[in-house]
Amino acid sequence: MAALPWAFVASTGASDLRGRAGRLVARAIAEAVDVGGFGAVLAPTHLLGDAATDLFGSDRAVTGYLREELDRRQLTETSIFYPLAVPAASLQDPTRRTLVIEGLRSTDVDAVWLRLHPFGSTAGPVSLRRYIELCWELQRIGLPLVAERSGTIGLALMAFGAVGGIESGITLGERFDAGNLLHPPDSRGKPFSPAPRVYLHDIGAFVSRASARRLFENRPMIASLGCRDTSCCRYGVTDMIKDPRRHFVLRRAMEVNKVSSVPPEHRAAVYVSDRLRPAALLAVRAERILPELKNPQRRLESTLRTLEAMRPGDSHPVSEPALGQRMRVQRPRPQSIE
Amino acid sequence: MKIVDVNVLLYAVNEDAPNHPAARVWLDGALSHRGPVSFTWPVLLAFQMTGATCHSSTSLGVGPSEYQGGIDGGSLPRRLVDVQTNLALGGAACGLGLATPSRQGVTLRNGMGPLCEDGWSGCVTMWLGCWGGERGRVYGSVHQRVHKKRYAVSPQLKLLPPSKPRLGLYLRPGRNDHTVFQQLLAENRAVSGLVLDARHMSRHQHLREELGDNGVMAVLGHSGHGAVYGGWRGSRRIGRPALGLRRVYRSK
Repeated sequence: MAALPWAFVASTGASDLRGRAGRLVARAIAEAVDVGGFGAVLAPTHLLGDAATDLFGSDRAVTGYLREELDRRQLTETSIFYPLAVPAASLQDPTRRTLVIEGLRSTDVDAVWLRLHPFGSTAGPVSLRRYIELCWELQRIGLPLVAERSGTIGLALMAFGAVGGIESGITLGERFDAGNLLHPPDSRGKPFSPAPRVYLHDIGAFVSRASARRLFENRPMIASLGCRDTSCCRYGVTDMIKDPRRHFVLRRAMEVNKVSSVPPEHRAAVYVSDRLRPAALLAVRAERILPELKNPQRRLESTLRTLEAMRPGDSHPVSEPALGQRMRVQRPRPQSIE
Repeated sequence: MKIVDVNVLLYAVNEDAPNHPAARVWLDGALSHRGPVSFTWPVLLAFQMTGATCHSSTSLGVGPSEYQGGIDGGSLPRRLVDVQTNLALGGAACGLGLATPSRQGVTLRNGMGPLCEDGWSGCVTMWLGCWGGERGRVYGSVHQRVHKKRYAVSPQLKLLPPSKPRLGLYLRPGRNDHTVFQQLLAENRAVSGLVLDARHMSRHQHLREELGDNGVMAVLGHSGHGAVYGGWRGSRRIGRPALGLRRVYRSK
């Protein structure tokens, strides 16, 4: 990371970012966007301990500088996505939430990427419900919302109109936990990323390759949980285990397409009935074969009950699809003083 | 989800059929209760081919005896219904959010009480023509029997909005994941965008060049942590800028 062109501002304070240091960061990032031919860029933001902190203002200032730099380089069509990294609890306060909404409404960005701490595929029922309700509130910003590192639960967020897109790692990175950023990396750990896991798409769970082999020794599980799409895994479970990254990417794309193909008014009901209920039943069977699936099975059951209780038939706000296009936000005009 | 057989539909619209009361009661019940009811394309096609419409058999001038026994393979349609009208009506149904077309068939949202003032016949009209719904922009008129107060629809022609674009899927490839995506791009399998780590600019260079050609957005991500702009700084204080601090990766 130290080799990045904008690493020189490592020790810059929050207040300095509003001035020259912020402009230097913006210039360095805009140059990287220009040289690399990127179509969009994540705005440089911090993890906020509190939405009311001064750092929020500094981040928005740097984002504004970045927009100016991109426009100066004729990159007017390059989108800026604003990562909102904040503890979810701090947004439960209506005053702070309003502060964030108003702040982002006046910032020239094209989508808000949510990094709410802590949230992910292991989220409990209360977190899930609060996340969805919070997203419905945040839609007052008027921008598409993207749930970062939301994992399989991100599909439910999209189905309920909470977000217009999801972001995920490849079989990894299904949870955002700021705790990793506040502690030093474990020096005993290996310097390599973990091995990719096998995605059991029918129940939305991940297992290691060894566990997948054990699971598929049971022949009925091959029929129930194996990939039957020959364009994805030509040789079924053999390819699932051999190339889990390809399987994950294709299945996740199909899952998102399936949610997209349903009109927004129906997504929640269809998702619950067509996806969650069958998955919960399958997970019970799979857990008998592979005990390590007990936790995913419980979470699935909990998610199903939570979402059923949220009355998916009711009308709710729906996030705009997050496809990366410029949004042309109408900024409020400052009132003239006469 | 309940999937309806075509014979049930035929019995339900044909008042002279011996099974009409039972079929009508079942269909009314299925539409009034919570949970989606689905009509597969073969069923819809067969229903349309036999000339059964919402208006009942007599309004089309087709004798009820022609499909009194349902479809038995020998009964061919003598008179087709107005396909264009049904297409338009189906498109309108999709625009209203009442019906969900897919490759498998049409799923109707229900559990909302009676959809039509005079029972369910207006809905059948709309189910029949849902072929048009997937084509996006459809001119259609809504059946005048649809409950006007609830859905604020009018019988006049109106322009329905085009189908909404797909939702976004962004993936964050790791250092060695570029080969997977290059293969998928070669197969024309795409996602909305890839978040490429700034630390792997040179390693992902070829992937980045191919993304633009395939209409996939390349998003510049800053941090290896994929979380905040910087990362751990050796302090528990949240919010301190820690861009590119060497200490993050320096082993003690």
